[in-house]
Amino acid sequence: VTAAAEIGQAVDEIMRRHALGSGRPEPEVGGFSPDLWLVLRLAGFDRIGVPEPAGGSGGSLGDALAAVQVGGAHAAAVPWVETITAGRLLADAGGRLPDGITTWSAGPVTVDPVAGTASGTLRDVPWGQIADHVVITAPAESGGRVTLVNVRTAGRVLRRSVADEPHAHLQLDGAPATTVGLVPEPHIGIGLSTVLLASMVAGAAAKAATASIEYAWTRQQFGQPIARFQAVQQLLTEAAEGAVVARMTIDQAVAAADTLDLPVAAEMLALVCADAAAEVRAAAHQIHGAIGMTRELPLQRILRRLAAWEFRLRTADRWSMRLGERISRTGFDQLYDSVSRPLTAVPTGEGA
Amino acid sequence: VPLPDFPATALTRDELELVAEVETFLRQELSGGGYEPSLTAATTMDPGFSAKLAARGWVGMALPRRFGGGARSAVDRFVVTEQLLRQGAPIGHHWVADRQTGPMLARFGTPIQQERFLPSIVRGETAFAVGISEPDSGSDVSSIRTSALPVAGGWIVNGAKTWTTNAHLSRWLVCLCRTAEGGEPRQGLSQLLVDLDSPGVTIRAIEFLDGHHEFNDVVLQDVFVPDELVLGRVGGGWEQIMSELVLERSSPDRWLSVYLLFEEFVRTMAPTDDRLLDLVGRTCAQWWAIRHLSLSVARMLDHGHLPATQSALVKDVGTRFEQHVVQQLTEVVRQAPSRDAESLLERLLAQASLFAPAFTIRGGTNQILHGILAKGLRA
Repeated sequence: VTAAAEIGQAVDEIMRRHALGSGRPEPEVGGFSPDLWLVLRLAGFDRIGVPEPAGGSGGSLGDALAAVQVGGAHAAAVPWVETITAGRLLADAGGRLPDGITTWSAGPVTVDPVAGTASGTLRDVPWGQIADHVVITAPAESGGRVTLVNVRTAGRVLRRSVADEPHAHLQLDGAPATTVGLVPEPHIGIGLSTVLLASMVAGAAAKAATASIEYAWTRQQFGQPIARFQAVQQLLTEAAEGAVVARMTIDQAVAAADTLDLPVAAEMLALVCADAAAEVRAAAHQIHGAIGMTRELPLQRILRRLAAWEFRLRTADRWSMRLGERISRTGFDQLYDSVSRPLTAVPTGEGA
Repeated sequence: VPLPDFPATALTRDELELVAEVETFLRQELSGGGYEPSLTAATTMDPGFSAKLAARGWVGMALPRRFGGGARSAVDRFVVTEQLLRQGAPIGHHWVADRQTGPMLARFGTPIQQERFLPSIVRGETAFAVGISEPDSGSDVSSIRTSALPVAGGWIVNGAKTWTTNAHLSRWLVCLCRTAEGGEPRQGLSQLLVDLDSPGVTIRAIEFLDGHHEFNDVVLQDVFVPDELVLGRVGGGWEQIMSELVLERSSPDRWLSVYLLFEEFVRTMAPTDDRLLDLVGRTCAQWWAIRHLSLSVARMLDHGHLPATQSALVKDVGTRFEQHVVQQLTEVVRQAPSRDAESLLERLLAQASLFAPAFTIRGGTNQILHGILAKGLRA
């Protein structure tokens, strides 16, 4: 049993008891589960993959990917991806995660390092409505400067996702800001948050697919399980295919985590997992029929998050266009190099 | 419900070196006019080209050493095949033998059969055709009616096979026959190696949509097949065919059929606007994902598994993707593709439009695969 598998199991036990999951009967209030966040905090999983000197609980990026994947399968409504991203950025810059809820934003805002303030509007900050701090890596010309901004008194415009996650525009007007240090390149934030979010998508997609398949073998119409109908079998296949493809990309990233080529991994995972999520969602809804249009279906907690996360993956960057640009600029050899590229910066020793 | 597993894997240094070796060889061949890249690479027969590959140890490379094979891995074979297909090299002459008949002979063949066929497969000489479909048996393989009746020293075969790729250019037909009547339809099936030069064999060409000839009807009338040419167990045909299809469905030809076309699109259109760049990027990412699924199956084969569900899944994902690529290019090229166009892109697109329907049919229609998958996905 690998470390990642053990972590997955431990997280799964917590999620079964405390996450919205697909089975819990109580109504969903808002898009945030404070109880779950507290339990993860107490168990040390909320900051997994963040080095201990930076206020984290240690572990690798692979451990973090494995943990949040299980969270995705249980519709974990917590600022997990953002906390780990912020923590790793702070760690790389020589800083430390503060108490409270810390999220991450690509910026841009104007930072006055002498006065120790930040001003400007941060748009669509994930979990911005409930955040205490935002870690900003921007702008590129400043050489990847990491700034920790206290946003407790910032103006907030609520921008709930389709899963009611409390994202927000934050209006900073001289908010207290600490320049923490430099990271090697400013795209680490978007890279980390993207691969972590893709991992949640993979977890959610797997759960959505398996729950839909189980339903199709249980639900009887015309005197037989609907899974017996060839047209439904096509939907089952599509759900499984999307889920398998998404999970495969995360397995690849976990296997390569220690030498992950982050920009490449983020690009591939965002593109593949967003399309996979769309395929799984469409099939899952169609398999469930009318109940799938409603909040009566417990699985909707996962399906709405799958949608919200898919949209974030798609819009986090101009993934496809940049990849397309790179290929068409350098020609067809680049095409096959991209089709066949590993996620590691170096080839592996053996074909495990 | 467990989803089918595709363990993460990457190419090793040795495997990457093999990639480079094949790339170098193909670059030399291309610059020397050794072959014309084609969308029908996997079915274009060029015995001379097959012999060149064989001389480098790239035909039957996974077969045992004692028959001249390289005892190489399924992943090595994957790597070589992938390069050949993406560069449109004519590998049809040894394709069936290399992909399925060779491995089947190595697994189920008698020592005499192995001695007789495997060395010539490894030399890239002997071509095989696959005889499964019949005029009245398409997806429903268990309903085949071609019969083999026992006689002294062998079997008399009567019936008809259809959609038989390259039967007119192959010496042998691996023919699925009914050797016993009654009982379950899946019982009583056997695979016989039919010499296509035998008396009683008639081959008739069937033109593809684009007019080219690779399909055939093969009529077998009182064809004698000696006992020593039964492949595997008499009555074991169904299980043998199913394991053969695992090899057939997960192979790189299930997702590289239109690679040349897409490459030509990138080369000639030199896309700059967002819509085209988005198309290139997304297509590339999907290709990346499917390739990893297919590679993972090859690695599973090397670990002794025969992953039927996974290979059906690769075929479904891969072939649907290929059709999607053709459809998308048709939308953006904005020129009704002509078969006589000066532009290679247009000619390839015209050809691909006529081939695309085959992608989701060959090796088992995707609708039937969905049934296999749905049952494999049952709790």
